[in-house]
Amino acid sequence: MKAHSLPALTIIASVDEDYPSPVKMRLGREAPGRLVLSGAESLLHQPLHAIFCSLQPPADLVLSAIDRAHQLITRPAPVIGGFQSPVEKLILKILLRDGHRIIICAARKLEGMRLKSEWSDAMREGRLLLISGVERRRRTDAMLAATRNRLVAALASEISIVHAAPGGRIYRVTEAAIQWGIPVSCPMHRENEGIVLLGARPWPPGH
Amino acid sequence: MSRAGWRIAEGFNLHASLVLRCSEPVPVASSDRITLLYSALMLEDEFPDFRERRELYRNCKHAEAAHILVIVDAAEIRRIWIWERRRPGRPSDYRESLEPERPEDLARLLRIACEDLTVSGEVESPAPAIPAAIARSLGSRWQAGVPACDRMVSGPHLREAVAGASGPNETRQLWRALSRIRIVDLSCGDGSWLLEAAAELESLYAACLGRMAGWVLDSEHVSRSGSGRHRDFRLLLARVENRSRGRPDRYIRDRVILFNLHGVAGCALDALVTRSRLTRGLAAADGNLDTPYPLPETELRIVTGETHTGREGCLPGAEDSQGNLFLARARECEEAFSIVRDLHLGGSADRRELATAYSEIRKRREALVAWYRREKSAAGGALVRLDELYLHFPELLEHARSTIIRRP
Repeated sequence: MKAHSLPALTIIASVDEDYPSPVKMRLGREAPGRLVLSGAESLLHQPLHAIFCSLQPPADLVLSAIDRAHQLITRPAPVIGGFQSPVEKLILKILLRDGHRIIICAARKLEGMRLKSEWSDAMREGRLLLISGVERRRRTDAMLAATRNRLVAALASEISIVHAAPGGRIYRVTEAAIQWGIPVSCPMHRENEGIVLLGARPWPPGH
Repeated sequence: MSRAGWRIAEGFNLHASLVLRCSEPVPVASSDRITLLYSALMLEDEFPDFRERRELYRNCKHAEAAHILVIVDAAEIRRIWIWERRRPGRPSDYRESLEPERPEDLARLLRIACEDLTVSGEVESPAPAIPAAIARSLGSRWQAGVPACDRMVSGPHLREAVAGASGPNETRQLWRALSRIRIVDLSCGDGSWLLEAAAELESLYAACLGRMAGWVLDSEHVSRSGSGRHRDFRLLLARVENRSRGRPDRYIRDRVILFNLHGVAGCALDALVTRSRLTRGLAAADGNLDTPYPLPETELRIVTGETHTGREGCLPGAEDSQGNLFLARARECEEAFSIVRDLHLGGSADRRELATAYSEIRKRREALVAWYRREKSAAGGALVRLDELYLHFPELLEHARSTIIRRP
């Protein structure tokens, strides 16, 4: 598959008016000093629906994730996420294919990044935005992924969690999101009981 | 036996065979072209399980053109006869039986085994096609100055080439090529052809894993910082260990079924037989033959259908949005399957959750195929131009170079 260069990058500093206020409000001093954007910038100022899934979810939740992706397509809110775990990548594929609007939050700096060929149609059609709060590092690591997840949650007005391993990265970001007052929902599963106890709403049957 | 025209091998003493190891079968008698081999166990040896017996038989196969192998425990209570059924136009089939007590039953068993072994005509096997498919899959990457490649592509030396790969990158490429091989039986009958292919692939996977372990070991001997090298091999070997608890055969067999095998049975009974045989193979790798039902993953790999053709060119064109929609939905199921498959092979997934996921994927795929059939019949076949095979296995579209198809 051929990769292309990213369209022009836009930098929004935390002092700029365009800098998303929920990020400053929720992350406080942890908020990135600047956000680098590439693509459909207008998406950033709409109510966003974030989606997360751990790297190794229970097998029977994979299909719940697909159903959720199809449901998100019917909603007006653009979907934001890191789209790094296999299930998140599958959700991204479905959203891209069905013409939904998407924000991909990278856990690396955008400078020097290549646009994947499967993203180019969405980018051309103005329904894809790449965003990053990382300034220096070019490679993703666990710490950057955790920071990226917090940024995604801070930008969102609603969050769907497919699976959060108890005590894992997604669990911690869910905890923070619930404290910030963001509505969080997840499929009913024994592995998700922890986040349900934190305050996540279970998806209704058939969600 | 002499009455049946067999020559008793000279110098063979039945009781002296107690000192032989299982791995050294000796000829007892021979007819025109069939040899009866005898392998006795020592007191401390456990009786070999299904998998080991088959491996032992296969090893003997290289030495003799046609043979019957008799494995006997040290107390001479349990005697198992093993041979293969050779049929023209069909793959050979592994068979075994307990030795009967009555002489007339023994004579009948001998006659059946001989009839199974003596056939004329070409015996169909997918094994010779596998090296060529691997070579096609590797393409030009291997051709660039890798001497082992020529030998490998020639067929008989494939396993040796895999086991003796001269660099870790070659091993990596071979592993990927093996994972890309797609064996498709469009009339799988009792599943013998698929099982034959599975046996061939299993030995190649095992050789590849052995070579990976060798590279890891070498890196630890060569340098102090070796523990950081070949991280992918280490992860894979740890995964094999985790999944199979010291029995890599189980991991390999799972991998072959989940990655390589695809079957289309003409009727539900054929599908059931093939799935059961694959399940039995998995159970044998576990040393547990009591698994009573076909495992749900085999239901995803062996499908029932009479309308599959597997012909090329039965794909939707750019303007065929309906066909593309079906294909997109099929790919969705395939993506879900590949995630579940990775969780399965990772070894930490819950068995019941896996079964639920596989069953759900199967249901969705069947619903998709049913929908496709309804649309096709409503449109009289004019609007939807898509081979049903690709609704079940859309991955075949991406692996055309390394696919071996047996057509009805």
